[in-house]
Amino acid sequence: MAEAGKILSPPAGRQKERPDQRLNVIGTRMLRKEDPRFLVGRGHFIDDIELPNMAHAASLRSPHAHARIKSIDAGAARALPGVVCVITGAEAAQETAPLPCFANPSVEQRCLALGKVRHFGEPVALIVADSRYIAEDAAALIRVDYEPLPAVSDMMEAINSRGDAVLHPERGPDNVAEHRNYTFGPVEQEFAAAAHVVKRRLRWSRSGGQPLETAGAVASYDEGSGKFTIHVNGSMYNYIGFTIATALKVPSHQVNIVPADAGGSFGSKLFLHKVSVLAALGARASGRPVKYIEDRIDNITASDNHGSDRTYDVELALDASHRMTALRYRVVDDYGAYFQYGLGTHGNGFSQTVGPYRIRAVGAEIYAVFTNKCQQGACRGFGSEVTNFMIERIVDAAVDELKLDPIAFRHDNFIQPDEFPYQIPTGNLYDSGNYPGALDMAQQMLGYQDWRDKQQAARTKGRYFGIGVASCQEKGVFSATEFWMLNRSPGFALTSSPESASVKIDPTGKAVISLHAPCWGNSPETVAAMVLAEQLTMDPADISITYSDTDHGLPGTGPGGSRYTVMIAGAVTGAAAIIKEKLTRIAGHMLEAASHDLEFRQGKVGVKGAPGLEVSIAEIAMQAHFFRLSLPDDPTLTSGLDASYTYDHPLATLPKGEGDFGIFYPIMGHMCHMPVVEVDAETGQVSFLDYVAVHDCGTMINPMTVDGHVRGGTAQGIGTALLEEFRYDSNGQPLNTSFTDYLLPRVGNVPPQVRIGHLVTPSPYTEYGVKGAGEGGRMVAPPAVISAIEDALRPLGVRIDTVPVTPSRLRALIREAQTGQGR
Amino acid sequence: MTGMDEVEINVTVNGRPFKRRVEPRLLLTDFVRHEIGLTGTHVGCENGVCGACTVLLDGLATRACCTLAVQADGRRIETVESLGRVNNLSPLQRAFWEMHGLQCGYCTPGMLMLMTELLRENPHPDRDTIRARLNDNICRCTGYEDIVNSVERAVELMHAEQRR
Amino acid sequence: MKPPVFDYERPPTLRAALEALSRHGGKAKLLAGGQSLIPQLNLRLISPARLIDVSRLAELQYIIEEYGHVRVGALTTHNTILRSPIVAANCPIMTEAYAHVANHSIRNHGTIGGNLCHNDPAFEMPLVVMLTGGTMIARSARSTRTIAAERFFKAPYATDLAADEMLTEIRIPRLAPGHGYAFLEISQRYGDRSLIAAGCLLTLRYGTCRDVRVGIRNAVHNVFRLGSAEAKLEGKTLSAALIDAAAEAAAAELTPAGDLHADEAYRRDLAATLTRRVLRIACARAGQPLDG
Repeated sequence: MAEAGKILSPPAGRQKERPDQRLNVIGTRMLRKEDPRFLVGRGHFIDDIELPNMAHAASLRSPHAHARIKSIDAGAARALPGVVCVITGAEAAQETAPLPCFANPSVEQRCLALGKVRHFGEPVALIVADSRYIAEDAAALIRVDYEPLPAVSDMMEAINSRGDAVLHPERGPDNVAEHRNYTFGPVEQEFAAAAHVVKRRLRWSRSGGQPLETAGAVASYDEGSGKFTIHVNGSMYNYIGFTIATALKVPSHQVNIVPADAGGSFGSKLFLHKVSVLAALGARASGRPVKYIEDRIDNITASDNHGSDRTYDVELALDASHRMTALRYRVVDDYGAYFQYGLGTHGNGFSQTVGPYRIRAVGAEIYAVFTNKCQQGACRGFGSEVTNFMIERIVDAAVDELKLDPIAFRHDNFIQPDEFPYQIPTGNLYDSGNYPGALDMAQQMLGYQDWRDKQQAARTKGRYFGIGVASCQEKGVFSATEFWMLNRSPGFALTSSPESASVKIDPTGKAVISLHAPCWGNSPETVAAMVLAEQLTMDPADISITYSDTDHGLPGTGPGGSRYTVMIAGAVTGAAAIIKEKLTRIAGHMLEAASHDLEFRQGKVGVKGAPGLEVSIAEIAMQAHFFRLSLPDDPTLTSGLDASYTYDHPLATLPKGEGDFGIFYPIMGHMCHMPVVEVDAETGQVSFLDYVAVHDCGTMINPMTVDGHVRGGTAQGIGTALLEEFRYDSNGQPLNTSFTDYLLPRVGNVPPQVRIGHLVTPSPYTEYGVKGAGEGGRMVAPPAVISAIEDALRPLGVRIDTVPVTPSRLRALIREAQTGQGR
Repeated sequence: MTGMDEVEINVTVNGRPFKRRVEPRLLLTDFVRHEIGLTGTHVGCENGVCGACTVLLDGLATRACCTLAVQADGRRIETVESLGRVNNLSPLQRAFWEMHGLQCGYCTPGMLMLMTELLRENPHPDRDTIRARLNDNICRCTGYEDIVNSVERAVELMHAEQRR
Repeated sequence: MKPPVFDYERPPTLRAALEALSRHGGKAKLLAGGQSLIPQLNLRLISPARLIDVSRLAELQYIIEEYGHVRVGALTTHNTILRSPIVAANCPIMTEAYAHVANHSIRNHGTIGGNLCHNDPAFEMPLVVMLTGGTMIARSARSTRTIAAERFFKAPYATDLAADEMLTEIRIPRLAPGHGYAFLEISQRYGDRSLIAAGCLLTLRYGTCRDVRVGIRNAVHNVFRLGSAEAKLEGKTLSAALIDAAAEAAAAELTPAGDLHADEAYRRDLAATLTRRVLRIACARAGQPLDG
């Protein structure tokens, strides 16, 4: 059991580049290297790939939520002119193993349903044809004889399902995928001693990343070498890409996975096993390259990447002076039909389960259940955005019930700036932070008191203005332990989550950096170029970036968990150090100077204190590549100028057992959002009057792109709070399978301006003190917006426990409050 | 079944004439992307909601995913590829770059074409006008504000260019 | 998804189009702007054997003011009507309602005829045509007939048109100068299918309401004018209390309708709220603003 509080002997860091040095490139608003190709329509998205003689695949989707497949007649489909082949689940099972699963015990998922379908949209057969049009014509001709089974749609019912309603009977007699109890710290004692206990039931509905580009793959199979090439817009190929080969039942060196630009992911393209295996399966069967791109219905109903879907019963214990002491919750999480990452999304939550507060003990009971829905995967926040919602909602509940001030209450409960590094009860460490500073900054930027005055004035006119407050954590840089630490038994207990960079400087002094994970719409190229330019004093325009496939790839875990920028900075710094050493060595020889007398300045290496006595990196590079005999006869000094570096997690420890997960997500960003809304109490519509977002992600490599993440994440969080939900009926039929009914925010749904404040509390553990920033907006906006709506409607006593709160739902709450019905 | 009569169409794409035989059901998105090979026009929702596929058809912003290629017969299509090149970005493209009006770049071509139409009909749109038109298309990355800023910046750049 | 197979023709004239329609009848679909039809094809919700593309028939693209009517050719695009000074001057409720019709790019191609024939219970134009007392001109190879709006919109997604008939013109009686009008709509995102929409027309003579027309679209049913709300107002002297009574009557009269995005109670509440709001705006526009 970890004892919460400041750590007296903090772990040793291995930060080489201090945050407090003078920097020339890092911290500037450099325009993105990625942009020009996108602006002229020359991105390399998955559907842009055309291979000679390429065929197109479509899948036949299950129309049932739960059914036995008795037989499939694909005769008419196969006979259709233009159809190359049709593969059924039974046929695919001959050639493939189950898809990768990180739960232990694992849950069998097939690329094409075998024997049973477990959710609407699950692929039942793959049709390969000369065009996607024909493939869809053929899909309509396949006759499947289904025997419908009882469908489970309600998460509470799932706990008690029996018999044919059980999705995976081999795993147990009900639909409970996992039921676990965790105790961190003296939970019972704290609750027994509490002066106040605040309780809520909260509902976070299922939504998803829903990028504008769906998932897809283009695969080819070389019969001569027996090798697959799979282009895919997913990630993690240089980490766990070998599991795709396992699913295809071939040795891993027989599969080369090539990344494409991703048209957004927001987690949903974390690891695209299904589209990769289906395209490859089609390619091997047809002897032609095959393109398989999810259509929007596939992406909504079968992407394997729905977000969390939770009901919380949460209790907060406070002492007589309104200090929060302990948090206890029971959560039921509807994981859908499969369980690819196990309880990973709750592990994420445990990394920051006390939020920014000095809560000493946490008790968690987790039910993960199977239902006949698309399975969960990753969605911006990976479950910890829901934890944030839970914490801030119960904090607001305490403020409301105990008639406290939302600002003062937070201030009184914050972990203070001098308490870092701070260990929370789960064992995870918060590396650094300044939560009171963020709250103060937000309050000041907003003109908090002015808005309170305006709120009063508005109320006298019957208008409802509300000011929201949310102070939330953004955990950054996961350690691999979180993949398995919540498993009953660990399974594959990996501990590495590295990122690599390769730097090559050509004879003319231009640099190419190879990254080993993809571009997801974030700015890895800009980050890598800026860090290398900083290190070598080069012009960023002289640096270009490529993405390694798995044949050429080094360990790379990729974007996710707000880690990529931190890890790229570490990897490029490491590679640059090797290059710098060699540049210095050769320059020393050329200038006849000792290495320690040399410095990097404006793309040159020169003698300190001797302006003009210098050689350019281009001159050194030319020497390094072509003039071996001019250099010292030392076998360690080889031709060329290149280096690769693999950067491991900057600060992680092994779990110490049940009740202490060790350090697994320590690079802790923080946000304080204060939205101001007006609620039309008659229509339930919410509009934004102002929005302040203070963000602390440590040292910013590029403030422009950090702002972009904050704004974009905030918009997604607003979608989660007000609009987005995958709806299913009681039979497991999806009710919104297109963007007509699954509502992504439009421009009118977000504030005209999100005013951003940056607080910079550098990490003492990462290069330059950088922290993650990719998920923060979505991890704080939902509780902030709901807090504002509740504040607006305080005169009516409306309480909001469910997201999304649509106009219809909000109006229902207002009606209940006005007519005295309900609670 | 696929033997339905193909139809000959003549379409001008970015100033170049194309004559092709197409199935009547071929969508304009697929025609532009896969028949002509201009893959800058993207497909998002497939039913007219998101606008990632926006092109100009006889100068009008058009959902190419809700348009048949045969409907473009005898007409002019403009796609993102008609704007500037990498080393010579148009003011609108340049402004998106300067103001961080894109992240993943997937909605960007549609946004650029939507705003190309707006700026032709109204070279001085105010912020509300830009936002009203921007309501047509969905961006999942930016939260829109930087796109509005980009269009405002484009107006400045266009005028600076005219003054030169 | 991709559309299923169909044949395609683009007749050069209205006469040729009507002949083609008569030949293929129920197996063919007319393609106008395509903004409702093609999404349905993309999702394979329909599979017509043939599309008859009438979108370029210039003879059905016009807006004319004539004999106390505004005549709008069925293939006139939404944006053309939205920008029409003739429509704004003679039928401003239509211009106001058009601000809620989909979005700009769709309005570039979508036509009023296509919109009315689709008769989506969330669409605005059927309500506008009902409120204004519009009539439809339907033609076939065999005949021409005039259909009153009340008879035209038969059921959600269904109209009175026979399989060989085509809507060619919409006639809106010119509204009296000085009349009050208003159109409001609630949707979760601007431009989306409405959750509920309301419109009203009225004239004030010496403070007395005349020719009051109030209508609702509830996105589920084929509902239009609300007689009981109108009855509360017709011939009465205007007051805030009267408007409230009309709003309550509207809510009471509305058929309950719940769907994915809004429940029955919401639509009932909003029927009252929007009725109240459109009436207040219309009264103000008719020259008698109500306080509070």
